[in-house]
Amino acid sequence: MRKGTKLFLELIALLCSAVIAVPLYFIIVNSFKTKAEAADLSLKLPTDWNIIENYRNVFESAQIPMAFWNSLVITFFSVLFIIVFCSMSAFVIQRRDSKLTRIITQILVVGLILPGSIITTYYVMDFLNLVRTYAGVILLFIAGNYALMTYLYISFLQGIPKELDEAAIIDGSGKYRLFFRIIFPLLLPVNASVLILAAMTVWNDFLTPFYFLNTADRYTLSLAIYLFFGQKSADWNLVFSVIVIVSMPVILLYMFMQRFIIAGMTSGAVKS
Amino acid sequence: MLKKQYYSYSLLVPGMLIFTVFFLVPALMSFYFAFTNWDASFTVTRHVGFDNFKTLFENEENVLAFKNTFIFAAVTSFFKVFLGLLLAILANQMIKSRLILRSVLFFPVILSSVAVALAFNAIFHPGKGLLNTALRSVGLDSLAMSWLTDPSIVIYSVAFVEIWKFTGMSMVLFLAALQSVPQDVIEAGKIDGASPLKMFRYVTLPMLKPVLNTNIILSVIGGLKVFDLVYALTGGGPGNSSSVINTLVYKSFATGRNGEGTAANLVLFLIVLITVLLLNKIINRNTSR
Amino acid sequence: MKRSKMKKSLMLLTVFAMVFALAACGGKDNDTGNDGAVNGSGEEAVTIKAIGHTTWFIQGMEAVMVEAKKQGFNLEIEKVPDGSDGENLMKTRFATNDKPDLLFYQSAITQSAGFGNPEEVFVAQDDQPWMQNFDKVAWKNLMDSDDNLQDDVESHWYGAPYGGANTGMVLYNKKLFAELKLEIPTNMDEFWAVSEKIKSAGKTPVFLSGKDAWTVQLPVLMSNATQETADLIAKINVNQAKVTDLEDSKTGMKFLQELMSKGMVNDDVLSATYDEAQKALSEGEAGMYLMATWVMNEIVTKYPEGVNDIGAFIMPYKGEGKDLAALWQPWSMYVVKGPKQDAVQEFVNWFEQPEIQDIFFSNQGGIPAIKGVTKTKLTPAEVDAKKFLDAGQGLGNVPYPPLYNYNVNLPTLSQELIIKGGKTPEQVLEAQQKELETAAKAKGDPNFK
Repeated sequence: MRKGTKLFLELIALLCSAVIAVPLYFIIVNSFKTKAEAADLSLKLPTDWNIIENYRNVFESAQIPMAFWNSLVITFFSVLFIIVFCSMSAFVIQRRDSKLTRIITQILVVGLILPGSIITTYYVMDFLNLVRTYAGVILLFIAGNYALMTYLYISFLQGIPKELDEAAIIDGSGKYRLFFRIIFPLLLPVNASVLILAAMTVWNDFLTPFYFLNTADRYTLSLAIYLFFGQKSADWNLVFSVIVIVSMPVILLYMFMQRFIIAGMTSGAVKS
Repeated sequence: MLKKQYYSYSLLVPGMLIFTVFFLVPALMSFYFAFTNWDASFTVTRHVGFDNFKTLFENEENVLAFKNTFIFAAVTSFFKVFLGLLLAILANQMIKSRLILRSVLFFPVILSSVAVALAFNAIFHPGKGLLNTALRSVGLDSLAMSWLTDPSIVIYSVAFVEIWKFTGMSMVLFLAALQSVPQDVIEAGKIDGASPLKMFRYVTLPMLKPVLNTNIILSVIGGLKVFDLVYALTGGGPGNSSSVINTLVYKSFATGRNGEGTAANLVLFLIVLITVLLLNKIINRNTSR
Repeated sequence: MKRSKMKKSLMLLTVFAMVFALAACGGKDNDTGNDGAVNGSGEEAVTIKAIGHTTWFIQGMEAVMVEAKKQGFNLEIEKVPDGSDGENLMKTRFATNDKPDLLFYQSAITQSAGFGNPEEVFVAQDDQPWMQNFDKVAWKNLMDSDDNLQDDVESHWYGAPYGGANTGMVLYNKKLFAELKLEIPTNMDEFWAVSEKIKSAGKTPVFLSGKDAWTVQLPVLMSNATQETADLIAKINVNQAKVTDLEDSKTGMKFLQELMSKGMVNDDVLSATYDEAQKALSEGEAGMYLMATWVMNEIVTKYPEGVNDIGAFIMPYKGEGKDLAALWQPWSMYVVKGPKQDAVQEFVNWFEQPEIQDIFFSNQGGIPAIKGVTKTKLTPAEVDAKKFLDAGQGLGNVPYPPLYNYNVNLPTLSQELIIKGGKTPEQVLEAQQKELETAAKAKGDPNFK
């Protein structure tokens, strides 16, 4: 690449980043201000840094530590099962061309489109005695994300050549070994994407815990935040502090996972 | 036939089981109620045939909601896919700022809709909001608008926020696919002296096709089914000016007209289904050519 | 081959073990949640599970709870958010038979409220001892439940009053009025003259919090507090009159539009929130705000320094003292039928005693509906409001119970009145009439065939 083009591209990249970054900076900087100063909604640095008071206020009134733990447990198990179950399903659906798999593919597309229904879901959950349980909410998150995530795995699996399976089978792999030892590791980039997507969906969703987990000691972070907004919407500084607190874990997760997404594992596998 | 047993259906069972019991069955079950006078107490006293659908389309406000939904889906899908692809290519170049681009663009995807909506309510504030303040400070007073309260532009403002939030998502999907373009093919192309444009047209683009299709379909579905962001940003208002099908559904349920709500849900489902089937057809025709 | 088979069964086992382990620990949690009913043999040990909106349980109830604990009542309140999300949650619980023992909700619940048929779900309060301290005549049509609305059938009382009554009025900043030497307007001409003066002093005459749609409907609801409207609603119920005949409603709607066209409102009306209104009014940046007195509870906690500057007068739509203050009845507590209903009723009877009401109202504003309450904590605005009520100058904001709630979309429709290219008052009333007809037809009402 020529130096001029490169510089030009660098500039464009920075500009695009800035468009995205300004609102983010706006949230963060205003979470540091006093109530009066934050009310101006400006980008200026605070004249009066109010960080500790704001965050302590939020932590206490929104019961953050407990909600944080609840969110963590629910998100961890939901995402774990989503990754395992969806990749397993996608593998069979993509590799095997039978009447059943074709029907299932259609069902998945329908599942992507189908609007969820809270009331009838509540009937089912009540029937199975799962209302107000962690297990129930986790199962709902798996079910709710299943179609989309399986779909993502399928489209990614199309890029992994079947010859690989054949080679593994000739090497004497059984079917579970084939999937978990050979294919699953190749899915790392898409696993990373699914992980981050599922984690953020589950983490940010408040309607599911709202309807199905609504007991005071099981509030998730998103739910605690939602309730907090209902009460203190006028204090912008606190509102923005809350946003920072609830978003931070997923942002950290993304920064950690990023290199796996970018690793580009498939090409290496094909070569060998 | 040796192959079949290696792709055993048993791998499908746990996922499909949970999906069927906890999503598919309840969702399909609800459609029955679209043909009843399901009321606020969730009791059914009468089957009303297609009455719910009739009231749905008789109401001019509802027609606006349908129109808005299509505008929103079209505008956001186009920009999300197009900008996402451009940015993925940019982020795949050997430039220094690519890492910044990759991280920063994905941050909004991670934020909850409620958080984003709060921030943009502040940014779009007509009087003291960041956007209008900036426009005025560079002398573009005439461009400073009531972004979220002018009925004629509000749906586009909401669409902008959706694009702002989700372009990073489509970028990452493209990027993952770009990364999986085999290095030896690229190297071979370079040795052959193919121009970057040609490389893109004949090597990269075909490899991107599956992800491109996925991206288009997911964006369209997401656009037609949008709820969170509209609800949190404007609540469908002012008045009904930014209402979409899903805020309509929400309002029906909130006002105790559950039969009408499920009817609207069913219509939305059919609209998305038909759109996806059509899109699939177009895409498949193009690929087979 | 053998190995792979073993692996397969192991795998499947693990998956199912995981699913069942999850399901099992779920089940256990659920059981422990219900143990109140199991140990409920001794009266003292009964846990009363209540549900209600978060903002309903503030200083007054907190103080009562302390006393309740001493008396051996074990009340567990589940607080759900205000607004339709929270309401839906409560209705879902009732629809799936996952009911609380005590429900805190709006008064005058009917079948269309979404909790089932009140007769089957709630314990009637008609003959409970607390009724002796309650004026049935004054609260008729506001707090009783009458699904048929036939005059020959006695209605029933299911809700016991919770919290105070409120009135919708013009809340005004007394300090600003004094500074500008303004008198309380007694007719619309005076009202606009006052507004003009406030405007020329550089302040906002009337604050309109257009972003929170529900607040925009208040001027319309206030105009509804007339006997004429009450008579019309009775006719509308049987399809002998139409919503479009509600002239008083139209007055309120026209007023909203005039406010806008005359420029007597704040900047950026549609971005302004309920919160900002409270701030502007209490700081004297705005002269008037048309709102119900419940806003004073919020101003007390958020802008306490301005509380004493705020007074209240009746919106002079008709003038010459003919106007009435729009009344909002207190909320209600409903005893849910079930194994614990006796214990819950005991709590309600205890709560409605004047001595306990004293505890409630000495900690929080609101006008009590139970007679014999001696201790109250009213802000100056509420004192003004109470004077009108005591003089009999009050009527329900919906002065007669409508069979079908044509007001469900009034918040958005009111917004439509003030946006660019929105609706005219006539169009809004037509939309409401259509709303009513749809609801009636869905029910299969013979009058609307």
